[in-house]
Amino acid sequence: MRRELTTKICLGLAVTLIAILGGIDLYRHRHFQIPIVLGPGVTKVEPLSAYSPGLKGTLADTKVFTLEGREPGGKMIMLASTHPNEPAGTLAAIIFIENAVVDRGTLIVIPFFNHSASRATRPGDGYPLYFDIPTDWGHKRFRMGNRDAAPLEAWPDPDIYIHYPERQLLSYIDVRNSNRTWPGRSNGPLMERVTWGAMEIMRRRKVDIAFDLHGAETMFPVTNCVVAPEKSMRIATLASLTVKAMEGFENHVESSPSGFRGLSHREIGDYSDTLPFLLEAPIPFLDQPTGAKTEKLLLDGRDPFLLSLSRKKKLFVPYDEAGWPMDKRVGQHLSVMLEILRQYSKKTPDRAIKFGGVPRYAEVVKNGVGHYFHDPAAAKPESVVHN
Amino acid sequence: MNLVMIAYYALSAFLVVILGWNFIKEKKKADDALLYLLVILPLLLRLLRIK
Repeated sequence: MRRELTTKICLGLAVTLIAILGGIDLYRHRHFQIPIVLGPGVTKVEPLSAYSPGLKGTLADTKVFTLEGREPGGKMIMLASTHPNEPAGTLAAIIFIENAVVDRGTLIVIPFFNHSASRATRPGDGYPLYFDIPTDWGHKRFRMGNRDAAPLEAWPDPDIYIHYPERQLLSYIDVRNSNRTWPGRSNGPLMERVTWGAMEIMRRRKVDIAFDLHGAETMFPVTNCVVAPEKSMRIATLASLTVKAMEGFENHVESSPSGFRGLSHREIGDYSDTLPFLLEAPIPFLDQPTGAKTEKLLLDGRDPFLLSLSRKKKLFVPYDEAGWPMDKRVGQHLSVMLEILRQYSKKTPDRAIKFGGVPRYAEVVKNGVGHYFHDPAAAKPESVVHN
Repeated sequence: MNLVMIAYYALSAFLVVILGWNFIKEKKKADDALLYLLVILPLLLRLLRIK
């Protein structure tokens, strides 16, 4: 009896200890703050709950940065980390926040759109919890998030997610995927409240253009592209042709399917006057047949198994020993956005958006992403926002 | 908190009681007792709302 009791107490203590030791890293990751230095263009920082009150007090509430120009013009919204395990978009968004100087129009930037997912991880896939970007002043550390919001915030999942308002049946996990819950509703599941907040920004502030920044596997056909619905197609095609001719990288156009509901490139266009564009940059880290999911693979995109598959012509993007580094992915996002905005401003001069300070593809590839991040330690404390 | 959420909390509590009872009643197999503890852990964290 005594032996049995001792065994059980020892087991209980061992399990508690392992749970605490394992939990500390996850707790730190969940509460890790990323400093963002407000650039000269930032005029307002507000929570998304200002547009979707149902988010207030939840970890899904996130910061919305506004960069307003001296002259009125068109408006653009940029959503990054819709899927926080595709982080090139967030790096591009922070480059905008820290560097853009707006002459005309307004830029609205949400660097951690699925904020809850940016504070979760995917232990089953062995994701690194953080990644470091080398800068001119040291390293800048970022949280590596997951694709879907943490079940800690949005629990329980339904058996099937019924999309609102189209009532299409989607996978249960899509209730936590902020690119399946568009256009959302004010009192729906948590991610519907997030997308509702963004829709409210677009409707209330009369936003012209929306960018949703993503990354996709090299083995997935919808990668290295701009996904656009019918109303955005002309501008997307012009931008795609221009970046290929002028900047030398491929970024084809994919049509947004009308029968697949809940995606930003479909619902933003159908439920507002905004023109949506979803940008996909290749991210070898997400491919299934790779080696270990390390920080190195995330940053340089080099993998021998993908290289072998590339030689067998199984990938949808060109792939060689150079991999697909983060600088290239971020540069691609930036150049495609700049080109789409240039085309839009040319087409509708009364709603033009003009700004400077944001680098293009060749500059980012040459200087590295980190070159465009500012040192929070050297900035005034009131100019640093933690997200 | 909606009805579904309440039902899930009730379900978790029920499983915690059942697993806890099995853990107490387990006399011989230490590996079974360990399994009860491992399974009970996420349910307990959810009940206690520890994130």
